[in-house]
Amino acid sequence: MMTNAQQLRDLPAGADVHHEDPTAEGHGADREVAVASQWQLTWWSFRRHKLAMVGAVVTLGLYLVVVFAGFLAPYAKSYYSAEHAYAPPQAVKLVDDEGNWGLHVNPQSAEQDPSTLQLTWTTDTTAETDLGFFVKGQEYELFGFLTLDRHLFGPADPTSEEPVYLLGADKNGHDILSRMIHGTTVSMTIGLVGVAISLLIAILLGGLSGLLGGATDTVIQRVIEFLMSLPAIPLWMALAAAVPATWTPLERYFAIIVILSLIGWTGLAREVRGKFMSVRQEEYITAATIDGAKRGRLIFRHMLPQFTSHIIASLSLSIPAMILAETSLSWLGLGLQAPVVSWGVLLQEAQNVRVITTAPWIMIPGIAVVVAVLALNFFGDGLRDAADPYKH
Amino acid sequence: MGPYLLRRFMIMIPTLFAISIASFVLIQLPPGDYVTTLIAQYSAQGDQLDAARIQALEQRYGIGEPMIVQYWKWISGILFHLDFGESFAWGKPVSELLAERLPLTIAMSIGTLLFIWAVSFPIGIYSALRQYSVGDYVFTLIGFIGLATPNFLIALVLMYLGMQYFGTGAGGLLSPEWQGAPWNLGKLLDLLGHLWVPLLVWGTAGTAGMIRILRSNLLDEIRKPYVTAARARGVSETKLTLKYPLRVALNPFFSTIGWVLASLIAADAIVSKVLNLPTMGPLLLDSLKSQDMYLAGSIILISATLTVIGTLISDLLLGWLDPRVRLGAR
Amino acid sequence: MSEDTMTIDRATTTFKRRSVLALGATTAGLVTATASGCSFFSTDPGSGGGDGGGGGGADTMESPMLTEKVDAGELPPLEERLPAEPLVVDVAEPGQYGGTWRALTLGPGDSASPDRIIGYEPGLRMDPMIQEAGPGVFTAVEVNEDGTVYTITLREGMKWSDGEPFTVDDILFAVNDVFADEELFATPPNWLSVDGEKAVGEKVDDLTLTITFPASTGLFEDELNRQMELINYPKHYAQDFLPATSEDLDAKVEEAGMEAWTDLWNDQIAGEGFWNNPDLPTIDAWNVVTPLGEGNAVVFERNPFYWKTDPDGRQLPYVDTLSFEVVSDPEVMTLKVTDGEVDMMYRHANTSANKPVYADSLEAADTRIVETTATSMNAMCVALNLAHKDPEKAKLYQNKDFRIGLSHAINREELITSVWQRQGEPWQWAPHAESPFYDEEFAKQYTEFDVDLANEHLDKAGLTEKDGDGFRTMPGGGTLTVTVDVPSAFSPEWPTAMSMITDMWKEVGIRGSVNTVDRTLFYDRKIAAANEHDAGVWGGDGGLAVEMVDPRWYMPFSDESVWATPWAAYYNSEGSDGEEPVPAAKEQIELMWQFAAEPDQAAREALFQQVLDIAKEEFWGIGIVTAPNPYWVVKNRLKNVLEGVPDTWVYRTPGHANPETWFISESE
Repeated sequence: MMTNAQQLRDLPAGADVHHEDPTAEGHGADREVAVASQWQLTWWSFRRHKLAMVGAVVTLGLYLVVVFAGFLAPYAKSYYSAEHAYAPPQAVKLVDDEGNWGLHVNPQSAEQDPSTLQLTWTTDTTAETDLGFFVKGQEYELFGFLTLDRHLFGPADPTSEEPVYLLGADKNGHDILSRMIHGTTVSMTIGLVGVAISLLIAILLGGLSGLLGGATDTVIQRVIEFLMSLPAIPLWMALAAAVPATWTPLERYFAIIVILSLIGWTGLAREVRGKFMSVRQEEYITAATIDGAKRGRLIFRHMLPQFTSHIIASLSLSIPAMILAETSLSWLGLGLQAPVVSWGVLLQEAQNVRVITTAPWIMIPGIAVVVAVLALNFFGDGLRDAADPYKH
Repeated sequence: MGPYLLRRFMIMIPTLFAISIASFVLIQLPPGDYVTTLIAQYSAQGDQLDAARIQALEQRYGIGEPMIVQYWKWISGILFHLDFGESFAWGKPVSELLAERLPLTIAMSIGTLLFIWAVSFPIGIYSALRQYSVGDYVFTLIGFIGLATPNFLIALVLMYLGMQYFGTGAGGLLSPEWQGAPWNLGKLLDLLGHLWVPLLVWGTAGTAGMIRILRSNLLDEIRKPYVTAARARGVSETKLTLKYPLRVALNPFFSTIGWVLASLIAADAIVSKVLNLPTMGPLLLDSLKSQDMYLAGSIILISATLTVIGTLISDLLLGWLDPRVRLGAR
Repeated sequence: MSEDTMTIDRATTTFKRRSVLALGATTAGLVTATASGCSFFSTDPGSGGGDGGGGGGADTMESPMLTEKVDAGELPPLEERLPAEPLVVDVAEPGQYGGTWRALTLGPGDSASPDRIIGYEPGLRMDPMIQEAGPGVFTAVEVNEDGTVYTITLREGMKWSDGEPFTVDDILFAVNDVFADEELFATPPNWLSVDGEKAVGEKVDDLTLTITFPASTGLFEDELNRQMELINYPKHYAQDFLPATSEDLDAKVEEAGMEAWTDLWNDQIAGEGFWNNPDLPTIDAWNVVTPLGEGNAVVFERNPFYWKTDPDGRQLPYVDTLSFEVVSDPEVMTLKVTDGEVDMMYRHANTSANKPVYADSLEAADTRIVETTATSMNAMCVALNLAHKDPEKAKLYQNKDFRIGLSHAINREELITSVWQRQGEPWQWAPHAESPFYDEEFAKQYTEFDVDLANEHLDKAGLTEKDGDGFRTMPGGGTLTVTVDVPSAFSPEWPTAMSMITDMWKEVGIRGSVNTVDRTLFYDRKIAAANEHDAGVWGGDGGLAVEMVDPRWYMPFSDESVWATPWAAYYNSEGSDGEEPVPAAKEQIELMWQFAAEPDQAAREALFQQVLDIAKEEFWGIGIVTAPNPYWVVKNRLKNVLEGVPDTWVYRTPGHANPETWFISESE
């Protein structure tokens, strides 16, 4: 998705091409210019949709978080401080009580009632844990090969016993903020990879259906109808159960993606089929056919480019659905499980009365889900509105 | 219309047949069976079953029989006697359990559908007519928030808030003192006091899609030449948008009838479970977990059948409203 | 909504104005009350759930609800309903009759919720603290010297809940007909048989019978104080459901829409019958009137023929009605308890994590927390599969030094703080501190966190070589990974704790992997027939009060002995099945075989002590922390609830704590 967004941005802003006759597409020599012009028009149209612009920027930001998660998160995902289980968020202060400047937080400690197990947190205003930027911390890997230990921010003194938990801690004393950042990686990529697989199936089957028509079309349509009429939960359960118990978390992760995409391709396939069907009727296709164009050329040069933008738009709308499906799967206990950190896994921990009544900050990863889903939806909406720049 | 209807009905039969097999196979795919669930349940309580009890249980639930035999038993019962088999966990006929929950499930679906329509209709029209205005952005954002929030999370939070601040009690559709009481106004009020939580959760989740479809359809429609022509003739702006384009743009409202019921039974089982609602969803979820196969199979079959029938109804409605669809469907 | 409300207001106002204005407020109340009787516009629930105590002062001998029926001629008077000598139960405070006790159940599969309150009615009864057994349904049981003949004396004049006399024939029906049925029991239960040969019951006189075993048995006596199946079959009703004694069973089965008579039997009589079948006569304090699946709650009503009284001779139970609302999710249970909708919560939602939530709502919900004693000795037992399919793995896991090394590598204090709400102390697979078999050394051995010591033991186990990632390799050179199966959604602590433990093992060069699996799958993998697991995690059952009944962690006892299920199969099949265990375990198994045939209690305890001594020496597996004490959340209006009772399924806690003597009173 990010690459598409970048592509849109990187196009030359030159206005000298946009008045070209857009129907020049079939003329060979001018085609590249003409195609660029379509992208350009799309971009202009997209820019008018403010919400979509915001969505695009946020989406881009989220994928940047995916790439730089280790650097952005102050702690590793498995880091915990046992004494700080259920610790509330800490306020960042710029000036201390004595008027000294410097970003810091006050350490907190808990007292537990031995019989009711209630925790009472007190903030020690006399002590300070200084915050710093680009501080040394736990090691992490960037891009899979760079081993680094600098974090965007964190306690200035890496040996500090007192953790800095800006969004509080969960029931085991993990940093919510760090885990939310690490969870971005899994959750945002599940959507991306899952949609890629769905797309492959959808283009293949939807394309066949739309191009060939007849019996092939009927069979594929029946299969789609059949899959769509089965409720999702039993499908999830059956497929999740088919994942061997001995698989590692990483393998399970891919299995879950495949499960989600095996169920998610149907809508997209219908769309692809519809597009092929309508484009097939267009005059320029008839013209190209009469011109003696081969079938492959017809499909890849003349038909597909016509609606790639539509497909991209549908794709960006399928990603949020996958992110939500992952959270539901985790809730059902079928998705990713505890040692793995995803938004779904984090929300699974938030799903109880204890959290709502005594530690609502554990629900914060829910906000990440809302933001991501909204951003992707508006981004996709904008793309779809802009997808056909000649229309309006 | 006649041949078209017949054709549609003919197509339904193989689809339903495939669904009946699939629903049966799906339940049996996960490892274990109802007896292992029972054993695990007993052992969790610290109770232990000796081999003799286990053998008796397996015999009782016909676990050893081959799948095809079990399928035939089940499907022939449904076809010839309308007998959906017996739920292992409840020890009751499946039909009895469903009869108890189906009315409420349907009522909830209709309520949700009405909620979705009521919210998305004005927002959709407004956003289309005032595209890219501040109002468009604000309303669209509101409409989408429901979609973006994981349903199970919002359900629990709303239930807690309802209990804490509105005194609606925890979960369910009725306060304890009204359960089993005869129907009167008080019971109705109590029901409404509980009903807003699930309606809000489901409704908000569904509005976003509807707003989006309505908005883009209406946008397409009002840019068509006939609208321009009408405008040129001096037809008032209100009439211009409301008379014809809106009618066409309304199509999606009818096509949703098809999926709304089935989706409530299945996809929103999670919400019903969290909210403790006596609908079919939690029944499906539990029966799948314990592999109570006749119950789970029957619910899947019924909900899939409802989807197929619902799609048919909405297609017919659309065909009646817009003859072009009928033609397009060959 | 508001418009409707206004309508009623208007209606009542007009009505009021039209009637007698002068009478004022009192009439208004009266008017509303009358109007609410049958009108749809009423906002009154009528007779609903949470009503208070039913009244009847401390001098009434029976519930007013029953007195009404006696007066109406529907029920014989109290003297005719009680046995000649009712069982007298001590009460802290004489209670008042009536009221509805509201509890919760998760519905199908959770029959244990009601069973735990009403289902503990054994032949001989354990006292609330599970110290010793006294008379129950039986007034006395005697055993002959060689432990083959048990003579049982019944209570004179005792009746089933339908008024039919409870006689010797009922017990004989269970022993000679029910347990003899091969379709119900392919082999007779081991507590009623010796080497597969079933005991035989014989009538001596109207109140006495004997049960004769083919050889001496040590299992029957303990079973008398927890085995309800011996007593639960009312012959006059249940015989119509058994092929041997019924005439029209096939018609009955068909009418019920079932396939086999065993379906009907299990559904209506045994197992689930007590909450499915309102017609089933019982000897319990309450009988079901609204079975599961009808309405939102399973409702039980008092048994008019209940055979116990308080010390003043007043018939028990005190509470008239028990209502188990069916909820779908434990979180809903939590909310209902904090909302004060529940009189007692004792299952599913009483986790340590939830305790602060209830503590916060004590005042608003008008509840209190009642502590009980855990009978489990460990919150988490980590079990390596000593009978591993892979002989190389089995050999390593059977090496005691390997297990000691892994145990020393675990920082239990940190786990306690982070995972267990700072509750409990480090503990191995050893009896509870309150148990007569308690042995501090056994409980504490190898629990101190010491990385050097851990490394030393692992080296001694032959794991001296390391691979490129710094992990120890198998003695043969292959990769070594300990994959621990953790059942999900059972105890929320386990997956987290286990992943922390694998992090700790990393420090001593052991690669661990957490495999979170569904509970059913967990079971499927660990049973002896499958034996597919590498290692597993479960709670430490059998720590207190039930040590000898469930010694799964001390010796290979059952499929619950996750650490060596094939050895357990060897034990249970008298050596014909499963896998031959290592010598020490075999010795334990032989001791337990002797134990089963030993009728003398002291000798049994001595044998069991030997089994424990071997367990201590062998250190079969790794324990983490003592189990937290379970607690109940009880509404303040529910009185006489006992504190600190041991909590165990075996004695149906709170069943053994005499819930029939608890009562509801709104006054302080």
